[in-house]
Amino acid sequence: MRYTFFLLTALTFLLPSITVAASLSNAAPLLPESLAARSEIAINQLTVTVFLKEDDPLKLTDLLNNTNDEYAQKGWSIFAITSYIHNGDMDGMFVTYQKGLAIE
Amino acid sequence: MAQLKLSNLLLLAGLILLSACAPKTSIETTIKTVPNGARVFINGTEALQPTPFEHTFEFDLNQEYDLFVQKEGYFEEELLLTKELPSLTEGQVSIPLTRSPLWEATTFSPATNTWIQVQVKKDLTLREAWETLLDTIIKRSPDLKELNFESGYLQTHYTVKKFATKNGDFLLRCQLTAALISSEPIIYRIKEVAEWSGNGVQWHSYNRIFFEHDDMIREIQRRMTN
Repeated sequence: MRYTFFLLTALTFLLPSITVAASLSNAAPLLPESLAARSEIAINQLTVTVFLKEDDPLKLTDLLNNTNDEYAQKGWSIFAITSYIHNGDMDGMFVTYQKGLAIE
Repeated sequence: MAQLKLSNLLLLAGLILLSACAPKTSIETTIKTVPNGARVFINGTEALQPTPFEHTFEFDLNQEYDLFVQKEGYFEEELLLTKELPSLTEGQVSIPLTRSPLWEATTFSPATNTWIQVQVKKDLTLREAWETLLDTIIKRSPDLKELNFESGYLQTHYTVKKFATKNGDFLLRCQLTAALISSEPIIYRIKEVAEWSGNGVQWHSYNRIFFEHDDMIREIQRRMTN
């Protein structure tokens, strides 16, 4: 009687966790063709943002071109550019680069 | 009395006219994919048959429908369907699918991420079996990571390829491992680890291997077994 009680109690607590474990082990692998993979890649994309401080538009353009070349040589490409406006004047740019995939 | 009847008739006629002018809330469509044969989930429920098939959208029940499309070897697609979609008025929804270059460069193999057993034919000695194994592998993967005749263990470096796709760049890598598990009879276990990554840091299992790795496994089986 006591044995049956213990067995039933153990099953009550263990069964849900066994079921969850079984369903997790049978979970389909994340494939690159899936939509879930697309969002995961976007989240885990390696990025870096730099601030280019320059109020002269011509000098800022040169600075941007030079910085882009510098990062491109290291395998980074432009992800986003946002201008920084302070008191109505452009004071610089925030440039975000993303790391390209490379075969090592 | 006759005037009342006439007004009722006019009201009825007006209602009929109005209902004819009102936008249709129930739209019969043919759902297609290019190519066909894809599984479609409408608001999370799988359609009973693969594309193409007929489906009626009831826009009085839902303002929009979420279509999720899945076909092996193609990138999954998602489409939010409202009754304003131009092709819906023509009675069809056509979803183009893009082939996965990773899928095209790979093939199914029973050794993908699973050990398979190779029982060596009786006329090969332990050394001959090892040499045959080595010869078959080294032709396609000359740079071995680990090699040990005494323990019968061999592992290639990863073969890594990069793919540019509509969803971004992906890396795919395959690595062969062979381990001797019995010398009498001679039995090897062979496994191909296949993994993909979207950022070069996190790797996930892939369910297929490169064609050249599959060739390697087939040749091992052909040359070493009866």
